Amino acid sequence: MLISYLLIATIIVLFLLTFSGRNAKKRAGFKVLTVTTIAFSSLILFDPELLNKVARFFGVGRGVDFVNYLFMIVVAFLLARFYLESKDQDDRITKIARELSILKAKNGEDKWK
Amino acid sequence: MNKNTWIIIPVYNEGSVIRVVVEEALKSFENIVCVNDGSTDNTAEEIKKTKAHLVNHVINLGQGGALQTGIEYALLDPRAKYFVTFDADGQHKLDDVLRMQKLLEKGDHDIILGSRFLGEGNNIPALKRAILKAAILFTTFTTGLKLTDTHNGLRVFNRNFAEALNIRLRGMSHASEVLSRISIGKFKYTEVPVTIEYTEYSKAKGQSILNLINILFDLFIDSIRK
Repeated sequence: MLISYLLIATIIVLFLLTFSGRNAKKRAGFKVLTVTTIAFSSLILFDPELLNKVARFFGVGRGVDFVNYLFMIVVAFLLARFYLESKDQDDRITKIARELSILKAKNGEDKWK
Repeated sequence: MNKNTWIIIPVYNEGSVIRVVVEEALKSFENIVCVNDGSTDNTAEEIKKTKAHLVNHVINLGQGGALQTGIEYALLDPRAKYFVTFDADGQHKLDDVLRMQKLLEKGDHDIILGSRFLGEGNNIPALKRAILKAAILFTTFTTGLKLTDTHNGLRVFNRNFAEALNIRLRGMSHASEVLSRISIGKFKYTEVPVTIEYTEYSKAKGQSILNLINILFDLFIDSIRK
């Protein structure tokens, strides 16, 4: 079914976006993805029938189900991305804490000078 | 006395034993840095009673974080040629350190790793042995290094290796990170038998099987982070 290809392609693209480094382009990409996902899901509120037509094109019965499938995958990768970004932030905090600790120790003693 | 060797001891809540461990080490080594990783007991006060250098982490960074801090501190000494990672709980033997350093000084290796499975006196608790064996399999698979003990805290390495090492994993997973560095940087390594003293005190502080899950997860995430 067409929906399977769409979901597999989505997983591949999101996997590459999530795990191939974090830079300004990728961050922008995720912002566009997030906004697009929300906008697309909002179509349900304004034109449920349009969404149903798109869903049937991909071989899915209802528009809501189509959105659910995509939404679950996108949210899973967004969570993974947030986790990785929190690890990056952890690294930065560690670096600062380390520099500060060493600086304080050095101010107290310079035993090899 | 070894003037160009630095002993790095990450310490967390070892107030009851650290002074004895450090005083013993000071008999053979004059450069010792204890990295107090946010201890809540009297660890810092006990270290201050000795002649060891003391670095107090402003926040707890885990054993890996403390080791990296100690290494960076020691690297500030331009005379430092050899670096030793040493546990604070009295499990490691100074005789082993001296032997490993002699081997390193020959210049054939960049890092000498201790192995409790090559040594004697192994009253290793059964569960811990099983966990370590699993860790060995995982590390061999991910790094390609053929080792008998992948999570031994006793290591002696040269300045080249110290400068290349950048431990990011703050918890116990750092041991595998050290091995990854050996593999990626193609550093020359060897294992020697060492004796690990499993006292009731040190057994009580050992790793639980649940923490193995944390370690494996950290390693997996770190391998895919860029």
